[in-house]
Amino acid sequence: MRLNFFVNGEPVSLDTDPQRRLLDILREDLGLTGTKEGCSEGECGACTVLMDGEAVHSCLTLAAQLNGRHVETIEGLEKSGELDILQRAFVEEIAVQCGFCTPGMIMSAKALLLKNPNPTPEEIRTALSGNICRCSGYVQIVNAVSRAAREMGGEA
Amino acid sequence: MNTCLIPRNLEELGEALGQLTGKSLILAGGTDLVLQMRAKHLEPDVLLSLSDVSALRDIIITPERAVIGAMATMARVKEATDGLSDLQALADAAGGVGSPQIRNKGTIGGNVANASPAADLPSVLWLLNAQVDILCPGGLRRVLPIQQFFQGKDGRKTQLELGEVIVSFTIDRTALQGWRSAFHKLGHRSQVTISRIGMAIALRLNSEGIIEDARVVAGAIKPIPFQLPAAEDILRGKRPEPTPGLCIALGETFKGNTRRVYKENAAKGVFEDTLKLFAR
Repeated sequence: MRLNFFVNGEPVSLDTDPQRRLLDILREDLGLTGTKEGCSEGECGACTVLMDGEAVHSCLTLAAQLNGRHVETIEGLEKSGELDILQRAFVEEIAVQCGFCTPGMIMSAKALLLKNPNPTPEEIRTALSGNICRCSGYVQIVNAVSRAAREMGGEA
Repeated sequence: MNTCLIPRNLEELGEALGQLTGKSLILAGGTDLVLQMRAKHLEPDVLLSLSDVSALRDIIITPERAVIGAMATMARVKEATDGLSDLQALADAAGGVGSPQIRNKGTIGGNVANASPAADLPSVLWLLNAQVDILCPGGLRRVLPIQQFFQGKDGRKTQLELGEVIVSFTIDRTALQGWRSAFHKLGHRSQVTISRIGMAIALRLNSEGIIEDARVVAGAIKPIPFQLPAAEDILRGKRPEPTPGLCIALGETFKGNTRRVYKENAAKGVFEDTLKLFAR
């Protein structure tokens, strides 16, 4: 099928199998390897991207569902060589250890802050409940999201 | 795979349904189907994606009724019904499905059509006497009460025939005037968990706060939801306060309904947690 959609604001048009996963389109066809494949079954959240502003699993999204959609990946956050506030907050709060969960974690946090610029720690934990990190223990991650919210102008 | 169909409206969808065979697959949110396709290496002859039929995503709620499109995501169902006391059980159930990522893609129609025994929305739709609006190949429509929808024939889990899809669920809110509802589930952890018991309760209280009428529907126990008239009898005439005596009596009504001893024991706690929600 001919698939027309948007990735990080840019129009993308490609011939693909309708059953191809968004995850594979991003990583293999478009070279956007920031999005990670963890469990491949919608449990771990490593493959999280934004679709029309909502956090979704790219491993459970097929090309047949993508026409006209706006997809944002971790690569879309960096602007002109500068890290996004969220990315910087993850670095500064040492919320990254092995880093494999980080892109998905940041995209889930991004989806939260788009809707709720001033989340409570509880709201942050709920927003990240579909993202598993096996090294950090989550405390620094929640702190990083709170910090980003503060720096973005929320009052948390 | 030979064909992928992505209709853009109900008319095109009706035509597309006519092309489906027993080897075809209908893709809604994909949170269950994509897993099954990969695990079982399914090779459909036709893949029909419902993603572009915007009419299927509509949620229309008036004082008289709620019409919820089959492709409404769990997140949107929660947002649309949260705070409406008669429909609160829908918000509770939809808001507790999976993770945020699953709730942003998983649909109410997929939850019902897939008919997993552990699905949360069927018991709530059963509680609220939803009517299921079904689109047939060629564009004909038929409507079934949700209770009948789950009486599948010939080993099928639902009444959906080849080439049929759910369009929407309609709930008559005039019949729910004065009712409040809540849903609570028992899982292995508080979030991102699959129901071991799903408890949907609706109560109608009088001006003194006494339960005049009650409906109780349990899910994740049998293949399809079931009503618990014995629990409803116990609740009538009581206050919706989860006292130990009341919860133990309610829990007893689970006896004989499940072969799992832990569920029999856990039922009283699930009743307690669900009744607590009526203090909101």
